Amino acid sequence: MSNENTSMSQLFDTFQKSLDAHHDKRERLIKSVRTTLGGKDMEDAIAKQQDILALIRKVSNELNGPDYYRYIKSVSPGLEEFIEAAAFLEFIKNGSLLTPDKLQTQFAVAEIAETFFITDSDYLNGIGDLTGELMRYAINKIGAGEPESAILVCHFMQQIHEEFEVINAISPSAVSKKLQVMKASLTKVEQACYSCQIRKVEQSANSILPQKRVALSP
Amino acid sequence: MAQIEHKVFEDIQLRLEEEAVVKDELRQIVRELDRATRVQIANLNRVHANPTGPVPKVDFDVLREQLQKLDKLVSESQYYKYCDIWRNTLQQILFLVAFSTYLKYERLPTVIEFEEALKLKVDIQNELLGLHIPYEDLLHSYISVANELSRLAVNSVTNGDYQRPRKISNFVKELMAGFQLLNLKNDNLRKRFDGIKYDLKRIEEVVYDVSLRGLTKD
Repeated sequence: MSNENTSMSQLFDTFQKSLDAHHDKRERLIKSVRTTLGGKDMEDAIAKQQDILALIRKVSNELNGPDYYRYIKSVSPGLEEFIEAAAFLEFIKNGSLLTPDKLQTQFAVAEIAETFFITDSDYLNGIGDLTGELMRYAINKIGAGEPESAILVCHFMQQIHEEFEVINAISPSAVSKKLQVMKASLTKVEQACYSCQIRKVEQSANSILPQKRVALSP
Repeated sequence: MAQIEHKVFEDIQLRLEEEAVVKDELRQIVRELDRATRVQIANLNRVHANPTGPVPKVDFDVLREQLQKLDKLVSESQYYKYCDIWRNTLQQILFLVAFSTYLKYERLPTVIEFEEALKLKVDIQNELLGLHIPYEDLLHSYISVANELSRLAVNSVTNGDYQRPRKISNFVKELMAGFQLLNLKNDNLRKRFDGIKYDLKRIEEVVYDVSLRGLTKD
């Protein structure tokens, strides 16, 4: 009996250490990723981007070999948030889409471990969230009296939406959730651009009419 | 207006399709493995109908063969990418090893016995590549043993074996003590561990009933 007792506690002893190591690592990663969240002002966005890249570098050193897929789920939310912000910055600076290649280049410049890469699902989720941000941006542009930039954003979003629809047709699990939200954002921007256009036509019609009346009156 | 690069999404699409093929292949093998496992579990569970009889034989050869097939498909660093596909089945197989060892020797198998039974390594140090047994899954299998033992206690008495429930009770108490050494986090393992106390309660009720009626000789 006592013999059995010791073997049982020995068995659990070995597990204890491994289990603790596993939980520690998971929590450490989640914690460092959480600090990457919420860095979204345009002001010194680039400086902030460097800070975040430094954090990702730290994380990347812990995700070697089999650990990558084991812990990436803990890191993904932060990565997606980063991709969203970086893609938004890229759009505002250059009006173009942040591609995975460009991201990987950013990573290389920031000396992030070569083994670390962005999964397709992280990329798609990040770009999916980007459209929500673009929606807010477009609506604000309309509010600021720049409907032309809103229409540019609208076209950009339409293209992304098209691509997502194609992917959704083939592997729905990858994007279906994002696609619904994206559709809602896109409809909102399209509707806003439409209203702007109607108002513009109306305004110009109104401004022409009185002139005509003046011309006709004598 | 910058056109977004269609190729980016085309590439993602291709990769998603490739991944889907790999997953299908894995699922197919796991389905066969699962079926074979269920047959063996049904075999072993005959012990409940005849607790005093010989321990039912489990044919591990079939399972080992299928596990080898699975091993060939799991690429080195991608264990955790796909492990959700086989995790449940693997836990069931580990339960088979643990429960049949208990029935034979009234103790849990050692890590080495697990490894020999399935020809797979147990990952104690969080470091193994390829198909292996995560130690968490061993812990899950212990809990399944406790679940099954509460049935066995009841059925032993029905079959006139009044000594066994007390042995089972001592064993499960020790097992619980072992688990209490671990720092469990709020995850599935914890939930299942919390369930052991209901198994223990059932077992203790059986022991109480039997000793109240003077059926156990001290």
